[in-house]
Amino acid sequence: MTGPFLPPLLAVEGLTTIFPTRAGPARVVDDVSFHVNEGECLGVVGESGSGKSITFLSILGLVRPPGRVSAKRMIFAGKDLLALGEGERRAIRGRDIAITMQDALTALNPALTVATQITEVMLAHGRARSQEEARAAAIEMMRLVGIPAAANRLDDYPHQFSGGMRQRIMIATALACRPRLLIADEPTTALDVTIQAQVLELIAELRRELRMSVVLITHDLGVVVEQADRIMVMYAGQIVEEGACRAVIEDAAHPYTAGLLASMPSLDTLDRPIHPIRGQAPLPGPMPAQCRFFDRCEQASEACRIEVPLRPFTDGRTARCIRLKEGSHG
Amino acid sequence: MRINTGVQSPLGLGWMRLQQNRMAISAAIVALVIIAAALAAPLIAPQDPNEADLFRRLQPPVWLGGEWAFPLGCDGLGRDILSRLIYGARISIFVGALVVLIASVVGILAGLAAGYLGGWVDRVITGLVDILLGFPYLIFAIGLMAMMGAGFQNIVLALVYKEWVVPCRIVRGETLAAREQDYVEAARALGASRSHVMLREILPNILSPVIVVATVRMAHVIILEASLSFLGLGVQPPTASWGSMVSEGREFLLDAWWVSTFPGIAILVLVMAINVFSQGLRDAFDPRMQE
Repeated sequence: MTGPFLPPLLAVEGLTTIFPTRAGPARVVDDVSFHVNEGECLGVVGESGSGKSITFLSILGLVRPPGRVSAKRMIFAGKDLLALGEGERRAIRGRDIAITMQDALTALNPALTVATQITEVMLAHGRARSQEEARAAAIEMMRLVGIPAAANRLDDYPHQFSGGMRQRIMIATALACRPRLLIADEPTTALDVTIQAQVLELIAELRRELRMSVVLITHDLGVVVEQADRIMVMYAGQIVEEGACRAVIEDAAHPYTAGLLASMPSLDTLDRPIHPIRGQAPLPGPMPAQCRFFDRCEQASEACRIEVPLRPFTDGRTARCIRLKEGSHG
Repeated sequence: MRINTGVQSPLGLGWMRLQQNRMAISAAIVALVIIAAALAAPLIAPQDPNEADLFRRLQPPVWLGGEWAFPLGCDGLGRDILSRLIYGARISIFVGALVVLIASVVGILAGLAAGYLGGWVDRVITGLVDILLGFPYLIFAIGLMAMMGAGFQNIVLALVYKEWVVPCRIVRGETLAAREQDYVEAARALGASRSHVMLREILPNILSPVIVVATVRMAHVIILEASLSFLGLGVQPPTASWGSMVSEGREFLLDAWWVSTFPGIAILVLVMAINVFSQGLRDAFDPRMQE
């Protein structure tokens, strides 16, 4: 982590994204505030539908109508994202903030060669002046993400690559302009376990090498534990816990985080049965004014039937649970 | 683990499949021969197509007692039918190709805009398409020709006015499906502009059905042009066109069947060749469209 004197690379305050549903407006992202420091890896954890992907799509300005995005503040590298026009917003996408999509099998265009897909990002953002320059840079990029015989494979189509290789190519397209922030959305979902480890290692290496910040979005706490400096847990559109990775893992403050940890298989506790969180995540739609985890929480009581605020308690950690008191928890 | 089969682009793979389809290749050869004849008309036509000679009026084909200089006989003004057929092919093919080309460009752009941009752009374009679809094609074209007057340019215009609707509807539908694909989202996330997404990301993925339909439509347009010319609304005499040749021979159908029949056969052969070829194209490029 960098020192406290540098302003964060990305600071978001009060981000809310609303989608109309049949039941009424759904606050898919609800008053989310967080920051990403320079060079840091932030892990964002949550179940499917917790709003973790939409949070970052909202920041990039990629939410399509009828979805509506609002925020109190959204600063990236000193620039106010809220004040930028669509053109300037687009110029930032891919050049300064890049995102890799969940499914590398479908996120590469099947009708274009890999070379085209990598070089066009560079040409579009003026990072390469000519086709030749872009091609050379694309070969360099493919080498960087560990594709063997990069120069020979540049003119291949995505279907000629294996799943892990496609994920690497997608990372290469995302990194083509050397962004300052890489948002890796479920980079390992479609991959088998050994390839997962390789891709995560690759992202960590590239982060060091290119000195960029990384947001790692995943539903797999195991992925985050090894990579992230800080961790942010989301549930039903809200942040429920946030803090330094190790501290959160060792001593979860929110019952949901604790539940996620308990449901993770681990080598130390092979004899212990995996303990799942009961129930299901709420469907998007209007929420009752109570703790959103209420129905699934094993420690819920009548006192939980209020809107619970996100509160700081210790060492810069915050959580959203009424049982927390400042300076202590548990 | 590289699977090396040479070309690997979707269009390249389709091309490979097409080459194995003998029916389609034969049909393509027939069509190409007609096209080549049309292009080389001044070199291969035995006679001047417009040279009339009333002494040769309704002269029969060579096997019915005609002479070798006029192998398919002569028409009501004594003009050589074979030469007129060769020159007439130019009109059919040129009108067919030009109409389909212009209609495809217009239709692709309109369809992409309607499908990708949505909103009022989509409402305006689909509204226009629906209105145009409400008119019977030939009657619409006849009406336009009546307003604009006969002539080559006007035939092309009259047909394009409605023809662009066909590629437009296909492209719009395909675009609606393609815009939800992850690669479109990924391109947007990497800062691609709207026109870039439409033309570079979506278009290459939806081109196959457009190409297939364009060839089928070319056959339709050739028939329409022949129909308009038959009705006297097409290319004006003395320029030869297959449709007007059929029309001119009507009066002599009982005495001199060859005047109408040969241009009729020419239309049939060209349209069939294009249709069979386009079926092969469809099988090769767009497996989804097979029923």
